[in-house]
Amino acid sequence: MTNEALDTAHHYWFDNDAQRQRSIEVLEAMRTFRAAESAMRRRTESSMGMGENDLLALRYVLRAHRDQRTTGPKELATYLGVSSASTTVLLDRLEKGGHIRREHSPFDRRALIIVPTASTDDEVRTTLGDVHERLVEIAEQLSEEEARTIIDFLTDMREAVDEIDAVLPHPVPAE
Amino acid sequence: MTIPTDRTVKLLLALADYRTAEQAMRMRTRKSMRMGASDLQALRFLLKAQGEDRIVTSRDLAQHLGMTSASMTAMLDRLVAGGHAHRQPHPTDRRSISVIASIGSDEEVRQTLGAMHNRLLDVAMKLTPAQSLVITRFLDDVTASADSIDPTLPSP
Repeated sequence: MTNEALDTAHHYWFDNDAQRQRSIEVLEAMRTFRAAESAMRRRTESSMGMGENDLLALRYVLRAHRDQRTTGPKELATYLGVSSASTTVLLDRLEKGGHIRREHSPFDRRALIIVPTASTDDEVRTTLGDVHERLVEIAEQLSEEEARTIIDFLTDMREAVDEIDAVLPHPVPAE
Repeated sequence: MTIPTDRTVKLLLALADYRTAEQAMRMRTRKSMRMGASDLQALRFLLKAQGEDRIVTSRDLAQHLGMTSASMTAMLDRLVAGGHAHRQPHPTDRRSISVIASIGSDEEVRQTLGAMHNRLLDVAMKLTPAQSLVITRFLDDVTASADSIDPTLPSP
């Protein structure tokens, strides 16, 4: 091995190490944000009077709707890791609260789909919860490119998290 | 209140969607993660003892983990079936059984628990130094803003 090759190898490992360190710092920042956010939600009790699971389920249905995708009870049960019986009870509650309704799938009349009943504005508000002015200010201060970087990263992270311990059925297009 | 631009709404939605996905993932993995944690704890205890040339009986292990002997048996059956540990007659006490961690078991369990972490790390590894900095700074700002929201304190 020539000196140059050794040097390159050294740089490769060094760069890789630095990159790894940076990545760990990003994940650490994610973890800290998550902890701070959960603690803040507990302090402010901003759950819109809904149980944690109900809110999670509703947000999942709203996200699917935003992505122009339909979702059914089975998919929801897999996503949340709860039994189909608990999912039925949960959906009954959401339906009674006027958040969703169940309809027959246009593709398979035996299958049910979950349709959110809220207006688009309400959907956004439900997904975001209480957004504090400070958070809006932070987001507004970002450049176009910075915002894009953060959105792409959060979307990639969300997709990675969704793949953990779940066998989700293939998405069905809404139209 | 500042009226958020479309771009801001998009960003806040991405943040909220990530939080939803993460909470759902925690629900899905609740069971397997807890099982993994106690298994890992048992293996760590075994490996440490082996490093110090100490013999561990299943009773020692149960005591260390605060488990009943019945659930200890179930756990050992699981570890043995998974190839993480094996039982062996005690060299000096014929009435007890010693437990040995299999070679490589530590790494294997660490990997199982680390699979989730690695997947997230892969996403972060794709970032350029400049992108990492943008994201870390943003998350730090969001953290600070969440920390500053406390309804029990008078607003500034």
